[in-house]
Amino acid sequence: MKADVEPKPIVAGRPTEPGSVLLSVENVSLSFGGVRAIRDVSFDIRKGEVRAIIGPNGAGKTSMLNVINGFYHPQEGTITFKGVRRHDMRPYIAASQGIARTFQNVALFKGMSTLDNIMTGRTLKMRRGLLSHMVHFGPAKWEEIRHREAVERIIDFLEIAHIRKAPVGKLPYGLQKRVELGRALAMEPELLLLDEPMAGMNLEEKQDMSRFILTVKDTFNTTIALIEHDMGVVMDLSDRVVVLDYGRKIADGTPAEVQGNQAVIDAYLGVAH
Amino acid sequence: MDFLFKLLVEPWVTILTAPLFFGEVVIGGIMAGVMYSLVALGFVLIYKASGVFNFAQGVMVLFAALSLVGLMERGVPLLLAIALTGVIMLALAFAIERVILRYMVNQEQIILFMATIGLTYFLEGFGETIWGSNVKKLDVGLPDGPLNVSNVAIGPSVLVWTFAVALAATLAVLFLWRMRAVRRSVDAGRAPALAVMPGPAGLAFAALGLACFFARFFFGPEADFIQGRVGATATFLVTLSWTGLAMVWGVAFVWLATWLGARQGLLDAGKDPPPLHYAWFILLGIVSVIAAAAGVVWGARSGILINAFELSAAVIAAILVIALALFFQKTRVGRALRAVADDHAAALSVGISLRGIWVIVWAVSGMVALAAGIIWGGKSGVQFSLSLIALKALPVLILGGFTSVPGAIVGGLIIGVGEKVAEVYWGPALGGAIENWFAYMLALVFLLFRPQGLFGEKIIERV
Repeated sequence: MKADVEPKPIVAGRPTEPGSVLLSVENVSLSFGGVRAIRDVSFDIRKGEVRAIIGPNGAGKTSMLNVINGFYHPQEGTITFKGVRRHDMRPYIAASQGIARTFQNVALFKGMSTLDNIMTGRTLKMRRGLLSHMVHFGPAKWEEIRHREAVERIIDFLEIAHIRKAPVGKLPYGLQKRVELGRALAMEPELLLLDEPMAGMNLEEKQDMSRFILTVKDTFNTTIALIEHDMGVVMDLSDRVVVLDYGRKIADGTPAEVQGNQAVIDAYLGVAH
Repeated sequence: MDFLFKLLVEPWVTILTAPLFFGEVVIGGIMAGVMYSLVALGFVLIYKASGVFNFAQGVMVLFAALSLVGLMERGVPLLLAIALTGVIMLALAFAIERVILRYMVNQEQIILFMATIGLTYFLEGFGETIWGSNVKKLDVGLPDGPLNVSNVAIGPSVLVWTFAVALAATLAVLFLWRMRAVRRSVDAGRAPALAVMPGPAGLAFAALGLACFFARFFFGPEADFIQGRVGATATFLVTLSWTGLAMVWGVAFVWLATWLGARQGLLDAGKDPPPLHYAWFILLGIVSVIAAAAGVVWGARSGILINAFELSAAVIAAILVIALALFFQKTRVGRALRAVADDHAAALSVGISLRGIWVIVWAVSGMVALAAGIIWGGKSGVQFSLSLIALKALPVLILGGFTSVPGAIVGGLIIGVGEKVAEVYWGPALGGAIENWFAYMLALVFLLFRPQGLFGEKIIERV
């Protein structure tokens, strides 16, 4: 975590002054064979905001996250992150520069415990050599303890202390989603990509998750890019929304602007021909 | 009727009437088992890190042994040759990553498996093209022949003292460590103050046990029980049983202390209960190492044949196993390895470099293959059939679990001892050559009842 402070109660209202641009995607096109998943999309994400990416199924939202995260390499366009302009991202660079993510279909290490799963998020932050870790003495031990403390804070924050030793494969879906968020937080990211963090959750779980997301944003100053289908959640959480449809950007703006946009309504409801 | 007698009665009679010979058979089995474990270890490593059964592991053993012999034939001194072979295995790991694995990210595991089959044929041909295909003899200077300890200057009392001191030290560490947790829990008001009582009580019992133990050597008539005189042995056994009783009480009380206080208190606070089992493992480990050493000396003195070559092989394997267990459990690379095995995409997203991990794991399993190659090559010569020991590793893995390093060891020991004992005692009833199929039958039974093996990770499937 960025700071040792107790998570503050959720602050009502949002900063009206958006920060500088953290990441910008310019004219990105991505296709798989003949299928054009993303067509010439540009948008930016500003420091400290929650940026929602919405759109009907197959609109290219997850592909977009995969491009930002370096899993997919777009044929055209550039990605600028923290002022460095790249043709495409690589997962390792993304992770080491401070981009963390969760997945649409939870991608956890099923056989490992909650604790170990979240500890993997610290991988890039641990520096001691292999041998000293094996001996498990002195600096290597202190390092492990220090990171373990950070992980424990995350576990407390996400209220999953009771399952920290359980193999995650056995946990209910809602908890798995939380563990996955914990792993991403353990990386102390500057940009957090959440791919449908509330899919398949009941109302109570959704409220919990919303609370966590807002706390992360407010307390740790993490910028968040969010894909979500639940419009209520999107409207409540996000500062700005970008709408994709068939790989194209059809709208971009505050939740209220997007909600009233005719193209968006058409995309979701269909147009009479 | 005669058959049933031979099958059900005679073996037990033979075992009971000639226990020394039985000991010899078991020891032979353990040594063979350790060598199976060594091969199985290579499989476990790669399986843990990539979820792939590496068909090429057997050939990697052959390749390492061939390279070593080839280098030595060209006049390279032994240690340098071993180091160079290590470098070759490292280069091989890099090459495998560069040529094969790099293109397999996010592919189905069956595809990776097939890639290793291809690798098998390539390595086999490549090794024999470079180093020749004739049978070679590998001599790395490990001691051979029956173990001779008659002139070793270890008196029995030295062994006993070492044993006792190790035990006392272990108990003390255990005690201090556990009591800290109890005290913390009492301080935090989560446990009653009385919870600390079993601790001192346990310590007192342990001290009593040690006193009993030492008293026998201060006041006893003689300490050379190892020579096996009846009177001496009997006194020893009596002392030992008193000691043992007190020890059991001591340990039980220490354990109770934590059970009452720390565990519940920590659980209430949502923290881990202290890892009790680690202390037991340390204790068991120290005690069994000393017991094994004492057993070897005792066995050799009373006429059991122990092969020095197999003994050194066992020691090498033991060192490797400890190093590997530490590697997996204690290092961030170990954790990363397990992560990669579970989910490639997720591992990438937290910044684990798949390529780095793969090179590391193939290099490590290459080193294990080198160790196995040295030992098996030294035992049975370096030739193509060396790669077939991989087949023996398969039942070992099924028994122990594909993902467990200790599983590979225990599985190897069970198979090794099982097949030797079965061959010697049940061979006559079943027409001999049991050794060839016993391991596979055992594996089959295990597959029916415990498909994940003894130590394997539970197969978790959500539907």
